[in-house]
Amino acid sequence: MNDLLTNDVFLTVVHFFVTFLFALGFLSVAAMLLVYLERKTQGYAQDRYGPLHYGPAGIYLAIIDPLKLFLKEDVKSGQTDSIMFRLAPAIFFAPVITAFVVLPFSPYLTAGAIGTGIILYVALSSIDVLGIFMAGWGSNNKYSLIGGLRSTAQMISYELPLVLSIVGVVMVTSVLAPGCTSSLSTLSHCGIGSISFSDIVHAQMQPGAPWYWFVLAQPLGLVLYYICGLAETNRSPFDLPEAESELVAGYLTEYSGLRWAMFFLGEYGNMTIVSAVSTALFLGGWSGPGASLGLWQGIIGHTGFAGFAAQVIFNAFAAFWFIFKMGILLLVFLWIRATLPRLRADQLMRFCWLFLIPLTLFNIVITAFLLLLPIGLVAQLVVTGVVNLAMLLFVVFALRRLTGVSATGRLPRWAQQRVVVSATNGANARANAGQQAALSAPADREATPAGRG
Amino acid sequence: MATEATFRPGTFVDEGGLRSEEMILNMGPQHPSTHGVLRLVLTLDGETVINCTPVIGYLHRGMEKIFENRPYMGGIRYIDNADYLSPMLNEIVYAMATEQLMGIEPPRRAQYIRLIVGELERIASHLVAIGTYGLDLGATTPVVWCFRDRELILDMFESLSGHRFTHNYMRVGGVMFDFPKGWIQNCEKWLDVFEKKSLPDLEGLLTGNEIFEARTEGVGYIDPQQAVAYGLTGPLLRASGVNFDVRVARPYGAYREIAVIPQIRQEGDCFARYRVKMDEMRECVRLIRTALDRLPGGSICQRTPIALRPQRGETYASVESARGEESIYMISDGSEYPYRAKLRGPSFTNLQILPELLRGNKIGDVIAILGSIDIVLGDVDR
Amino acid sequence: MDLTPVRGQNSENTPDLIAYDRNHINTLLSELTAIDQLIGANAPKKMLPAGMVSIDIPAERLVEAARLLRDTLGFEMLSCVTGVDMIDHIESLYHFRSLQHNWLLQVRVKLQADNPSVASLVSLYPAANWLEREQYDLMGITYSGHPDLRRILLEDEFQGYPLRKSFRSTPLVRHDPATTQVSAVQALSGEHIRGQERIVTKRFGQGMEERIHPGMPTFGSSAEYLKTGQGVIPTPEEQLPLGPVSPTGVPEATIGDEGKAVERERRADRLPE
Repeated sequence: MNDLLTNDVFLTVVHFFVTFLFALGFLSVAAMLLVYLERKTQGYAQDRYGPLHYGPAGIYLAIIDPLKLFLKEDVKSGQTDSIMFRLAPAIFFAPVITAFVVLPFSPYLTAGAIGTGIILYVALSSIDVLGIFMAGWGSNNKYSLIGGLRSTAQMISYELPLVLSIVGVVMVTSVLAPGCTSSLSTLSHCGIGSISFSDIVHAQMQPGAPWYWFVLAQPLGLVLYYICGLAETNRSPFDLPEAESELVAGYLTEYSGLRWAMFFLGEYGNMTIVSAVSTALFLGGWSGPGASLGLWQGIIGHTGFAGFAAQVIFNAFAAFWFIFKMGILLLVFLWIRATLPRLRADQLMRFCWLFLIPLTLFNIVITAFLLLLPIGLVAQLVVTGVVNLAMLLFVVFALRRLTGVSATGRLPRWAQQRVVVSATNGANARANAGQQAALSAPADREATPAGRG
Repeated sequence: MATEATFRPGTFVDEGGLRSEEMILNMGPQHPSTHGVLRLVLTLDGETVINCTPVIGYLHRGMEKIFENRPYMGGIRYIDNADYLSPMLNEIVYAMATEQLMGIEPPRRAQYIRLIVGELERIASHLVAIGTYGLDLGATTPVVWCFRDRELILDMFESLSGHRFTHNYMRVGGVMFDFPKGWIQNCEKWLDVFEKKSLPDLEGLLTGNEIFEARTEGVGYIDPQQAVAYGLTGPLLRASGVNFDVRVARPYGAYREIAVIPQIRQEGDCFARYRVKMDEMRECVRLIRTALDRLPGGSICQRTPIALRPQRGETYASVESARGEESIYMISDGSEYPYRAKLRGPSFTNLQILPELLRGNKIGDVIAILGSIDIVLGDVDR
Repeated sequence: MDLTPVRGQNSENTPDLIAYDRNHINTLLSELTAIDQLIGANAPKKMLPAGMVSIDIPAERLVEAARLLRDTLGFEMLSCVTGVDMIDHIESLYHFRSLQHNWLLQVRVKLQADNPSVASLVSLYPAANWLEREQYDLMGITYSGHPDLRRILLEDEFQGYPLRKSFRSTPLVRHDPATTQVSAVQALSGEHIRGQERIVTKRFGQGMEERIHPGMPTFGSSAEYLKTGQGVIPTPEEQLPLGPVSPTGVPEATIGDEGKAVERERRADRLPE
C-alpha cells in the first residue's frame, strides 16, 4: 500500500481522474446553475421574479430544466444530412469538457503536466466552430444555414483578437520569471514568458498578492479578452448566430431534446471557460485570503495525515477563490445579456477587424516596448499598468461611437434635408392659433413651412 | 466612416462585385418577430436582401362585411379587433362616423373623456411598439418594462369599461360610463410615475445605447416626398419631417380646445421613428393632464334612439390612431345597418413601403425596419 | 335600385364634429373648376360632413383629373380607395388629401355593374397599389394598368367578391362538416393532391401507425401498414373531384347566378338528413 502511494505513475493516474471528474461534474453543475441564475438575474433586471415555485426561490429548476430536456423527444426531420446532424452536438460539446482539464482551479485540481495550456485552450475553443457549422449545414434549414455561416465567420474572426489579447499577459510573465527577480521554483525559465496556466497563476502569486494580478498591468487586455469571449461564446450582444428575432433560433432551429441540451450546456460551459480563463490570466487565479502559498508553506511539506488535511483545506480555499472570481465574471455575462441589444452582422465583423485586432496588436507593441525599459521590475509593471489603463480610458471615451453609421454627428449628412409640408393652414390655424403661440415648441421640433411645387 | 455617410438604401448591392447564388427565404407567417402573421418572401444574396414580397391576409376576418350585417352599435365591438393594440381609437372613429351621419355631437364631457382614454391608448400602443422593437433588436429588458407600465393602463381601462382589451366603451353620441370614483387621482398618479420614472428609464436603456443607435441610425431612410407619395401617416410620416397629424390638421372632438404639438423629426430613419414615438408619449401625458384639469361636467352621452337609423348620406371620418390616420368611409341608406363601411387602416398603407426600404439591406435590418414601421396585422388584414 | 346617398335637409344646421372654415372650402370649390374645364362639363360637387368636398368624375378622365389634382391643386396624398356596390352601378371612390392646403377631397367614379373597370392610379400615387388590389379582391373592380393586380387579402382560389351585395354570407361551397384530413395513405404514396382532403374514418390505434413525421418513433411502421393493405386507398369513383365540391359530389364552377345559388343553399341546408 505504501508502495502504491509513493508510486508516481499511480499518483499521476489518480490525479488525472480526480481532475477529469471534477471538470466534468463542475461543468454540468455550473451549466445547470447558470441557467437558473440567468433566469433570476434577467428577472431581477426586468422587474419580475423569475423562477419561483419549485424549491426555495425556485432553485429546483436548475435540476428540473435539464431533466426535462433529457426526457424530450429527439425529433429529426427527414431531409437532414443525418451524419452531420447527429455528430454536430457531440463535436460542439466535447472540446468544452476537454478545455476544462487545463483550467487551474486549485494547485491540485489542475493537470499541471500541460505546459502549453493556453495553446491547448485556444485550439480547443476553435473546434466549436466545426460543430456549429455542421449543425447549420446538416439541418437542411435556411435559418440554420445562415446561422451556421454567421457563426463560422464570427468565431474565426474573433479567434484572432482573443489570442492576441492574451499575448500581453504572457509577455508580463516573462519579466516575472524566476532567476530574474523571483525565487519561486515553479517558473523554470528566465526572460521567456510562460503559456502554462499554473505558471501564470503562480506568477501572480508573488508575495503581496493582489498587486501582481495582471488585471492591474493589463486592464485593456482583460476588457478585450472579455469582449472576444462574449463573441466566442455567441452571447449577447454578439448572439447573431442564434439571433432569435431574425433567424428563429439559428443553427439550433431543428434541434430538440438531448441534442439541443448538448448545445445548450455547451454554450453555458463555454461561458464558464471564458470566465475561468479570465480569472486565471488576469485576476490572480486561485489567490486570495487564506490561499496564499506562504501561509501554508510550512505545513504542506509534512507527510501523513496532517499534510493531507492541509492539502485538502488549502485546495478548498484555492478552489473557492477561483470559483468566486469566476462567478463574478459570469454574472457580468448575464448582466450584459439583460442590458444590450444585438449588433448587425456587418457591424460585428467591422468591430472585430477594424477595431479589436489593431488595438490588440497595438497593445502588444506598447507592452513589449515598456517592458524593455531599464527602470526596474516594479517601475516597469507600474508604467505598463498606467499606460494600459490610459489606453482603456481612451478607447472607452474617445472612440465611443465604434460601430455607428455616423462617426461624428448624430444626423447623417444625407438625411439633413429639411423638406417640410406645413399643414397648419385653414381650420387648424383658426382653432389652434391662440394656443400654439402660447406653447412654444423646442427649436428642433418647429416645422419650417416650405412650399412644394 | 466617411463613405458610410453617403450610404443610401437601394444602392448598396454591388452589381459588379462578388455574387453568390440567390436564396429564397420564407420569413413567416410563423416567425418570432414579424409581429403577427405577416409573411415576407425574401430573395437573398448572402445576407443582403435583393427583393421582398409581403404576403398578407392570414388574419382577414371580413370586417367590412361584418359591419354591413350588424346594427350601428354592434360594429363598435367588432372594430375593437381591427387594430387590437389601440381599440379605443378604433371605437372613436367608428362612433364619430356614425355621429356625423346622424348629425349629432357628443356632450363636451364625453369628448374630453374620449381624448383622455384615446391618449392613454396611444401611450399603451407606443409602449408595445417600443418594447417589441427593443426585443426585435435583441434587447430583452425594455419589453418587460413597457408591458409593466402598459398593464397599469389596461387596469385603468378595466375599471372604466369592464374590459382590458376589447373595451366596447364608446357609444354613438358619447361614452358608456363615466369615470369611477378615484379613477382620476389614480390616473394622475400613474402619469407622474410614468413621466418621472418609466420614461427616463426607458430612454436610458435604449436612446443612449450605442448599439441601439448603431442598429437604427441611418437605417430604413424614407424621404418626405416618398413618404407622402406612399400615403404613409402617423409617426412614420412625422419622422420623415412631414408635419401631418389629423389631430392638428383637422381637429376633432376635444382637440378643438386642447392643441396638440406635433412631434416631428427630420432624419427619416428608424431611430427618428423611435424618437417620435417617445416624444409622442410625453406629449400624450401633457394632453391627458390638460384634459383632466379642464374636464367639464355634464352628461356623458347624447340621448339617441335605441335603434339608430341615420338619415341617408355618406361621410369620411378620420382620427389620428397610434399608427396614423385611421378613417372610416360610411354610407347610410336610412336603415339600421350601415350600407357600406370601409375601414382605412394605417398599418395597411404603411406596410406598402416595406419592399422599397428592404432592398439592399441586411437580414438584421429587415427586422429593424419592419419593427420601426410598427404594423398590427389585425389592422393590415382586417 | 337607386341608393345614391343624399344629405339630409338639416345638414346646414347640425353641428359638425370637425371644425372647418367655409372660406377655406370655397377656395377649394373655386379651384375645382379646373376639373370642369378638363372634363368639359360641370362635374357634380357636393358638400359632405367634416368639411369634405365630393366631386364626380367620368371614369375615362380619371387619370388626367388625378394628375391635375396632384400637380396643380396640390393633392399629394392618396388616402383611401373604396369600392361601393350600388346594385345598378359600382362606384370607385378616392379620398385625396392636400397637406399643404389641408383639404380633403372625395372623387367618385361610377362604373358599370357587370364589368367594373377603371384606369389605375399607381403611376401617379404609389399608395394606390395595395389599395386598388384590395378593392379588386373584395369588390371585383378591375384597375387596368395596375402592375400587379392579384388578390391580396383572400386566397387566390377564392370565388366571388365578398363585398358585393349579391354575395351570400352563407358559404356557397359546402365542405364536409368536420376537420378535413389528408389521407395518410395518399400522402405516403405521393398521390395527395390539393383540394382532395377528405375525412378518413379511423379505427382505434390507427393514428399511431400513421405518424408520418420521420423523426417520430412509430410502433409498427407506416410502410408496413401500407403493405398489409389495412389502409383504404380510395378508388377513382370514391375520390372527390377537384375544385369546389358540392354536397352531391358534382363539381359546380358557376357561382354568381342567383337562382342557382339559392337552390344550392337550400340543398345545403337539407344535407344533414
